[in-house]
Amino acid sequence: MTGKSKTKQRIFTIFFMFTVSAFFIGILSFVYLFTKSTVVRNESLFLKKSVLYTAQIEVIDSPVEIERVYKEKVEEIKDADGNIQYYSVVADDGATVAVFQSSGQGLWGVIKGHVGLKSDLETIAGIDFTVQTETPGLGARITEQWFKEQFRGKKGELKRVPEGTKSGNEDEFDAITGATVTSKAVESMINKTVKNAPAVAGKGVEQ
Amino acid sequence: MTSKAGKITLANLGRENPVFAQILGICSTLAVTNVLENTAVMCAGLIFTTALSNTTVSILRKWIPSRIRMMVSTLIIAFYVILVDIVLKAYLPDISRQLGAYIGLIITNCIIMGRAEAFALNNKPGLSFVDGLTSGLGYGYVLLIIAFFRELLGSGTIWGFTVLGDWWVKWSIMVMAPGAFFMLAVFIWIVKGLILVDPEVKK
Repeated sequence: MTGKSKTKQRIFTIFFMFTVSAFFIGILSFVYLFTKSTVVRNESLFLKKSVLYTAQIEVIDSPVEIERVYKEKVEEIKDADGNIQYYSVVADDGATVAVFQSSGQGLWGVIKGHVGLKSDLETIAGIDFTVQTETPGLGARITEQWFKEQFRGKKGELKRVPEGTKSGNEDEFDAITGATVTSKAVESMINKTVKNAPAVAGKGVEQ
Repeated sequence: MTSKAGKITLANLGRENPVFAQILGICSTLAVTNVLENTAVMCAGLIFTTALSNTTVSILRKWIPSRIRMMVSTLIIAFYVILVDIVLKAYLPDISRQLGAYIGLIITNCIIMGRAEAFALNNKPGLSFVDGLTSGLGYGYVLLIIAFFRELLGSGTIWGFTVLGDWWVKWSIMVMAPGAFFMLAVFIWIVKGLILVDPEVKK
């Protein structure tokens, strides 16, 4: 093979890679831009649903309904920079529930979620998780109903007890067997929120 | 053509099965099989990606310079995986949230790369599609069988529904990574020992 055709081949190789990349990336960019607004809306709906669930407000799972109930019952309390400090939610029984954002370090990554406290800032109205990458079947079971529902009415700060204890004590919750790190993270998420709540919610009232 | 496609199908589901014969795609076999539902979606994603990436590689096979063929294959595979990811995020947000990192894991599945390299680069698009599809199916049914037993023994549930009552002591190890190794080994042992007996050994 002569030197000239070798050069030609090399140029073709580079040209080919560029063209193929540009073609596929072009399609992806188009699909991404096309679906971007839907993805953003899904994300916002998901957060709103989570806030409502945390405050124990039942809502039909339809976008219109979630937006309507959220608008009616939830007030976003923001700090001077426009970041959401907490959500002030009017629960079904008329009382106000403060829903805080909280996060903790799980086994594989950060766990984020909402912790709702009743007006005494001690009694837990509810808890929900929005971001978690725990082991499916073990740590990821924190997103199951039985786990989340057990917190309603408990009083912080909380202690872990083994799974299946079904503890009636108001300062204990059932951890998940085989997922100690995850359970610890949830414990710290709640206790941190209860500890910081007066400071955060107090600041909100002043504004 | 039809008989060729049939032969490929039979091989991919049986004697040349990607998981228990070629021992490919083990990463995801170990990672996702502790819950049946996740396994099913993972398999669907993989079948989609192998079938279409195989077809695309095959269509382009005459122009792909051989020294960059792996780069091009990876690009095509990544393209389909990202496509699945975006579409799930937009239209099936709940499933997308549950699967999280698993979708991205499809890219690294050796089966897809293996089929592109070993089959699609040398065969026509139609056959490559059949090969990709059946390789995915061969992977899928093995994973579903493993996931069935892991979820049943580890959590006492099937597809999230409780089947074994409170009397059942859950084998937590089945849900964790070691359980996958045991389960996969037992599966391969059974299949190779009873069904796919090597004719040479039999003599």
